[in-house]
Amino acid sequence: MNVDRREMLRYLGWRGQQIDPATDEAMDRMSAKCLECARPKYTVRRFAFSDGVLEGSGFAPQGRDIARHLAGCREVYLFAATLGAAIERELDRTFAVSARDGLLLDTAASCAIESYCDEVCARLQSETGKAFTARFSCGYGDFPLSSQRTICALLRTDTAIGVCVDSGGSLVPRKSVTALIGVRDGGKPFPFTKSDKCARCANKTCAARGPEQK
Amino acid sequence: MKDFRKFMRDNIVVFDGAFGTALQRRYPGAGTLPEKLNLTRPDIIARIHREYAEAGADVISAATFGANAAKAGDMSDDLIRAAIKIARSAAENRFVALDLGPTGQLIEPLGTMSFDTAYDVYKRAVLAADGADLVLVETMSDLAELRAALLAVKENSDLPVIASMTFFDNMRTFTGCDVTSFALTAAPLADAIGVNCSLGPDKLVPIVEKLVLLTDKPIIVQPNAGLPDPDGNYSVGPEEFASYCEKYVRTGARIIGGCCGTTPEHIALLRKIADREKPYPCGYKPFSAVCSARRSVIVDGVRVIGERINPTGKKAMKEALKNGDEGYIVKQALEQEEAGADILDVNAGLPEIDENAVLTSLVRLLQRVTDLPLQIDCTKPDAVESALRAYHGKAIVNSVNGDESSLSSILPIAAKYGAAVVGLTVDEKGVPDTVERRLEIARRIIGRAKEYGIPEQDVYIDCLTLTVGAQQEQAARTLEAIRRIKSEYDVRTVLGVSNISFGLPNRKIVNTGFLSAALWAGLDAPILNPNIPENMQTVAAYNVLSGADVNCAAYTEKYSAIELTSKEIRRAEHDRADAGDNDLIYAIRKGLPSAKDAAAKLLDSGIAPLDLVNGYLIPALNSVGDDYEKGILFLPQLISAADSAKACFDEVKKRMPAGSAKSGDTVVLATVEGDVHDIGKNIVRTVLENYGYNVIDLGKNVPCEKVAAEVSKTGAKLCGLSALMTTTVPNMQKTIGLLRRDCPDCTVMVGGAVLNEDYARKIGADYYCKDANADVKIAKHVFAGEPLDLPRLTETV
Repeated sequence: MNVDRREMLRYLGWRGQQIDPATDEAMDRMSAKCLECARPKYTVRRFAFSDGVLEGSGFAPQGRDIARHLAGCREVYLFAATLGAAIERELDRTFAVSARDGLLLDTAASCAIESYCDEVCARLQSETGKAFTARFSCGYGDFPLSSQRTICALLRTDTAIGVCVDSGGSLVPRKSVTALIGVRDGGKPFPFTKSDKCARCANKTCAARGPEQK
Repeated sequence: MKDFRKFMRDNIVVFDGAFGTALQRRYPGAGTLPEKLNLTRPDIIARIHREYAEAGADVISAATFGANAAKAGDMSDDLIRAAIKIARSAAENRFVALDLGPTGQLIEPLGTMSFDTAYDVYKRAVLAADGADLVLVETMSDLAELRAALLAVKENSDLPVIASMTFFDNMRTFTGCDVTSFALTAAPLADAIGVNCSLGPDKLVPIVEKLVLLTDKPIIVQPNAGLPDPDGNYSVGPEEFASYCEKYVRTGARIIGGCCGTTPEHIALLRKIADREKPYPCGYKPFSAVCSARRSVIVDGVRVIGERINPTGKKAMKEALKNGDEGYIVKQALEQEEAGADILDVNAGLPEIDENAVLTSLVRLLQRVTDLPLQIDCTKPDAVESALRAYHGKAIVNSVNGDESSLSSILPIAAKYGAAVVGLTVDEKGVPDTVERRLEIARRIIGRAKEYGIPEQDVYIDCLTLTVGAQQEQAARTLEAIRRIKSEYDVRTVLGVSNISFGLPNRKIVNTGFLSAALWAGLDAPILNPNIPENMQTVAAYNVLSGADVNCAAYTEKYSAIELTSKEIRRAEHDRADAGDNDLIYAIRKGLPSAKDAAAKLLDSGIAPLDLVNGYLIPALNSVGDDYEKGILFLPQLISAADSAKACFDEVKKRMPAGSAKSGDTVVLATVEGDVHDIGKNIVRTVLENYGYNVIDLGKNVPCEKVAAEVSKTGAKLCGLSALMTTTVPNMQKTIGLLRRDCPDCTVMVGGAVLNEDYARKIGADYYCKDANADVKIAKHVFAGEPLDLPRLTETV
């Protein structure tokens, strides 16, 4: 797990401005603090997949986008990961002292959880020797956010990795991810650790996208 | 049925094994709420219970783990009633436990569920569990949720209750609770405590070894059969599993059973252990300690209690408490933590505020940001009880005195929540002036505490510091009283130190001299300002000289590279090294910490506070805002400037007359109900405060009604709402609806990742803010009529 400086700048809306030494130092310090406070954990469960249903779970993901994503897959992994609760507290503490540091720590944590997910998925993929699809999460495209609750219940994320869904449907701790990953027979392994994330994403209007990627 | 409490005293008790994983093997289609089978397939549930009973389990856990109302909704009561009945009939002559697992939601502030809601969820389960012999609260990660469940059981039934948490490789739960804090907090509320689930039986050995030393309550251990692979298979077989359980029993554990992946075969071997072994003694010896949910402080040497969160004689703290200025209070806590305080005293005793409400919200705020245990400084029973209820740890209550009305009202509350208590050696006859009278009162307090079940180790006697300038002979008597009480009892002593020098010049000199003498007399917990270096130096010197600081290691580490100053050190001064350029506008633009010093200098040279704001701070912020807009600066640089401007504002506020600090135009901010993503809102707060607006920040997950009520109450002309999730935007819309109804004059601006201008228009907002800079422009427009280059999304009335 790491905090990639380029990713961090992208999240912060950087457009090539000169980065003064104080900001630069704060970015380093908050990246380090993020890695120090993070207690990353994940859980994963494999299901046979046919007719749009994860067998034995009663869960049929809704929406055209997820259907397209999993087309041709006969197995699906439910996946959840988190940086843990400690970083949430550290965010509150940091923010009380410096809003800038709070912002940078929050951003670093967003980068870190993505990087952790990529590492775990890359490892699972190579261990199984199968070709995975990209992670597909609730709220992407027309895949409803409400499925978050089902995924967390099936993975028992509350007791397995300490991740809950709160009344608004979001994951807590905030720096957590759930996703579906398909397994493709005979496909090409997914480049989870390739660094250019925008190139592998379909959301062309995303605010985080740099002008050169639009 | 036999009495489980008695049974547990005399026997090694065997619980059953896994339910969820057993079910999955037998009935893989159980879906997200397997407890439903209590109604649809009672035969399957009964068969699993019967197998465990036949394997030799003494206790059968009913299939109610996830049947609480937070997970099962309105079916909850029916599921629980059915489950208890099935367990009872499938396993006659066995104890039946109501099994309570987590709600599946996180309690505030991490999540959106309130402590009271969690309490109600568990209360409902307890009331539905007619016929259960005991309650097992298990697989808990959050001490707050565990406490909600334990209090619900204790306050709504007479059933014995067992508290079990899940720890991981760092010996902490997911939420960071450590083993000692768990034991200190849960043991007073439960009949037995212990661990279940988590990594596997080998990993629980060090935890069990620790637990048996921390409490005299029976210890329960129910491990997993290892960790599952992605297909749900567990790897630890019955023999290996049982060998670890035997180890736990020999370490002193009294109750054994199985969690995920265990089977009747595992449990059959545990039965053999229980039949073969008798309860082993645990190694527990009484000790003094307090804790938060994440840090415990063993009081086996000098422990410093920080005194600064107290409005008495402190203008800024008074203002902060009155205005709910969380930022200020948090800084006081973090500064004391950094200076080396071990415990924080919390006092909200101001005549013009509701002490009960403010003290409780202070406790909630502080436990969110600091791991230091708290001392609840209050003598009003109702306020003490609310504060202890909200505190997820073991606090000290400060204080009771020798007056019977104080003892009989506060001690039962402290005992109920397992808190320690400060005993002040005064009584209805007043402040004693002899050593003997102080001892007499102390003995009375210790005796009465014992009657309520509070051991000596949880009593902190305060022998009273009197002003040496007025009653010079008393200083020596205080010291003598400390010496005597420590030689008679295993209590701890506490003392507010600085009162000694009241009225004298250069008080530090007398304070540190008295502190040193008191430590040598046996003072354990001085209450002082840790940010005065001389105070901490005196403690450090004592620890060196008394031998507590072995090899002078802590002293050497702290003081070898330090140049002594005799000024009170505050956080902002740590950054002084950066100073050098005292051009204020430049310093703010660059986000330099030296801006604060530059502002202080200007103010001290005679410039009026408001002129500094209007002539320096706001122009600097405006130019930074413009540069951000033009793309010359990016977000962290904008916020950095806001941080430095805020530090300047604090200097301004210090010099403004009391009460006038918050007189600006009012803006109410909130992250809407259901949403905990508040970073954007926090940034907006910082920036708006810098422009001198009176910002009322209601926080995150704010009920729609509360926003409208606050705007109504304050007459705020501007309200900012944020939301990150598409699922919480409806609450934003609802909030706007209420605002329109109740506060038609209020302008509403909205922002957050999911919003855009169209969406904002659709939900009825007046303005959409793409960033914090937009909020400032809107505020300037609303309050000062400045022209605005953002579109208004609604018709102006």
